[in-house]
Amino acid sequence: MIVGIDLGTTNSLVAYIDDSTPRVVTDADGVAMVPSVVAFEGGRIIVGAEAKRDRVARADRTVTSIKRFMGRSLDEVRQAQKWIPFRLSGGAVIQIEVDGATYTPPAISAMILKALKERAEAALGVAVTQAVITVPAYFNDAQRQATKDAGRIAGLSVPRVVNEPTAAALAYGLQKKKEGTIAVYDLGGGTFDLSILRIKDGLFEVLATHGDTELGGDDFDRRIMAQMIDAISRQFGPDAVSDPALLQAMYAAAEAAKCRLSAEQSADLLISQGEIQYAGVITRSAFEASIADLIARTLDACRQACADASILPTAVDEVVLVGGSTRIPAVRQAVADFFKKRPHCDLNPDEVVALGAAVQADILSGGTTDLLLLDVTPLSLGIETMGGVVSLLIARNTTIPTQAKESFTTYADGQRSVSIHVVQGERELVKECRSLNHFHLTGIDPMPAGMARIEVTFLINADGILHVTAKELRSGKAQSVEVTPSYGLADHEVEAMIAASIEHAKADMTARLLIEARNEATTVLRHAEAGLVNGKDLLKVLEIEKIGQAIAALRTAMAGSEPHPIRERLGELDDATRHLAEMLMDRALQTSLQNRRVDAL
Amino acid sequence: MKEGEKRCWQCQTESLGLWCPACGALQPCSDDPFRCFDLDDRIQIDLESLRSRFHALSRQFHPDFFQQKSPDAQAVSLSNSATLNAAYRTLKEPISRATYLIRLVAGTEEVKTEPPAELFAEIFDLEEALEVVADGSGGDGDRATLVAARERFRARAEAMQREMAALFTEWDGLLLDRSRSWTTAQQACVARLRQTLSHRGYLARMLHRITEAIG
Repeated sequence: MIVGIDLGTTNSLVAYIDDSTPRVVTDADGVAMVPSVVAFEGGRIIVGAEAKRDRVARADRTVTSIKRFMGRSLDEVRQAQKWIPFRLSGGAVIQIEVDGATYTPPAISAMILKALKERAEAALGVAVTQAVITVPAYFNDAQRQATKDAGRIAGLSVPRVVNEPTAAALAYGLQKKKEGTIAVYDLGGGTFDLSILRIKDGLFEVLATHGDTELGGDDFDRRIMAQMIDAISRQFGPDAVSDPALLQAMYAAAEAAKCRLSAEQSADLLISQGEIQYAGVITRSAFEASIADLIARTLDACRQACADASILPTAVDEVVLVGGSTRIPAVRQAVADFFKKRPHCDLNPDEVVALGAAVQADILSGGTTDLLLLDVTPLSLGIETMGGVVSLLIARNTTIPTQAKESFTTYADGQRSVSIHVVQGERELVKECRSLNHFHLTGIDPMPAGMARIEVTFLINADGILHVTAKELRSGKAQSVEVTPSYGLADHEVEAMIAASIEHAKADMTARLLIEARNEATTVLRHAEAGLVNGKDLLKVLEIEKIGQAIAALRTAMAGSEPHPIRERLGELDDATRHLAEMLMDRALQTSLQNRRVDAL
Repeated sequence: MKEGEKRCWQCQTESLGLWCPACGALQPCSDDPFRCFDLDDRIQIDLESLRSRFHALSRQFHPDFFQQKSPDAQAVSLSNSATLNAAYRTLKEPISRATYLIRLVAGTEEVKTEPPAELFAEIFDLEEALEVVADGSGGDGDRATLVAARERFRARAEAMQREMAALFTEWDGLLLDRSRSWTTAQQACVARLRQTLSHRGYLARMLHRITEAIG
């Protein structure tokens, strides 16, 4: 069974196909969404609703919105530091410092994936080892790779990463049996995508996609927080707002207010955190004014996608809204005005992506054969040429899988290797694009300059991830290609994290055994102490002393963090109280016999 | 293996189609866009049927349908899909179809954009006018030069569009079979096609620059 997972910025879901119908997996309370929040508590990892609920209490040990750091370097996210209560370090791969340890974004995402995996296993009663995971359509190569790495760390093989708006279209098209041109406007917790698709006879062809991987509900929350930060730092000084607990409390208050404003005209903002008391109000119109520029940015992306698809916004047959942020009335209005039609929001915008991922999973496992998704690569791919200029290899919105071939030669006699710098982005200069990888073609036979003819194939697979192969045309010999990723994790680093996650699983297990041992010890202690009081007259002084010592030893063991000593002391107390237990049992038996005799009389 | 003989990568049975008749394995498709779509080397083609052929082949090649197959079979599917998508991109536009055929007939040279000979005389003045208008130092005269040039260039570009269409028809009429051993007439046609494309590219770029300068 391959499940479908929507690994979201604020919430994640897992879905599967049940008798050819996609369904989300819910918990005992019928809740499908798992907050993408991870907390650390003395070696224990807490994921989901509990972690979110206690975010203020565990302010500096709670990680939220990890998706925004996936596949990014520290330089790219430096400005985010002031908004988050944990420290970022590292370089090409970000390290998150929390509770005395460091974690990479894929390792944290893996904790969320693992929770979803366990949830699915509990619901389905089978082991889940494969998952289709969705990513924002505008995710670049490194962000996609980081998502696959997270799956591997969580013990899931990821046969495909699927673009979120495309997955939504798949679920939507399937459910509504729609044909024609549809636009999917997907505004989630941290990312925005707009995809335009044509659906015909079960074939979902993406014509164009555009987006912004740093634009979503989180940014709306921050606009509300800015108002609180302003007021609080005026009253309590600028240092006050860097307190992690206050930051978490402000986030929670801003998010709650934002949600309320979708239904009401104003919402209270109440903060009570230690010394700091804040009571404010935000009106819907003030909120909408504060996010107007962000909504305008989404419309720019819509315009670009329509241009790339060579279609007028008014010619789109249907507009589908996806993602929690599309509940904001101003967003709906802006979309309706842009496409000149009422957007569809009759599918649950929180669940539709996971449902589509489950459909794609079913296609991959051979269950569904009449549907096919043809997706595109969101960003242009180019190589660095003389003077730092980008030479285009594969244009954005090209249907994937796709490939481009390019010939390279040597410029010096006897040159043994050639380096190729691949970049992703829409700008003409290398420095304005995102460096993807440096590929080194090595082992070229020595020959005069310009004689070698190395044909390099740049292939973007169905995940939207680049693979490079090369061969020397004269000899037909395949060249070895060495890859130095500019960003992302090397294979051995992922392996190390898988190992670490197994270590973590051990730590998780230890934590659970500890809790169980402590619970049992508490019960046994209560019985032993009661027995001592009741049976004092039955025992010799030496025996009472021995039991007292065993009780003290168990209490000491319970204060420790290892389950094993507790178990041993429990055994010793059990031995020490055996005689007492027997005597008490005898007495109880005799009493009951006496009672019966009385009854019989 | 003899020239032209193709064997199935999996079971070595002689196999000329996309699917091995013996073991049913998908065979590598042609790198050539026209051959990949099983089309004659025509420049004028029906886009609707190209599109439905693209969809039909996608359903045969796509990696989604090979997930449960062997790694080798997956590799063929991936490579075929990538080739198919690149081929579709080439065949979708008449200019890219023509450019591909020019390279096929005339070797691997790129089609460079060059000004038509009859425009050589006025190009110098035009460049100067573009420069001064762009940096704001130009007068009304320079502007007028550009406006007039734009009119002439537009007319020239439209005429060129008609010439090109005529050349497309001529090329398609010269096609005899699929052998690709080109006749002198075909080579001459491609030479003119190449020149027209080159001039067209130049005009398009100049029109773009003029419009940027004078709005």
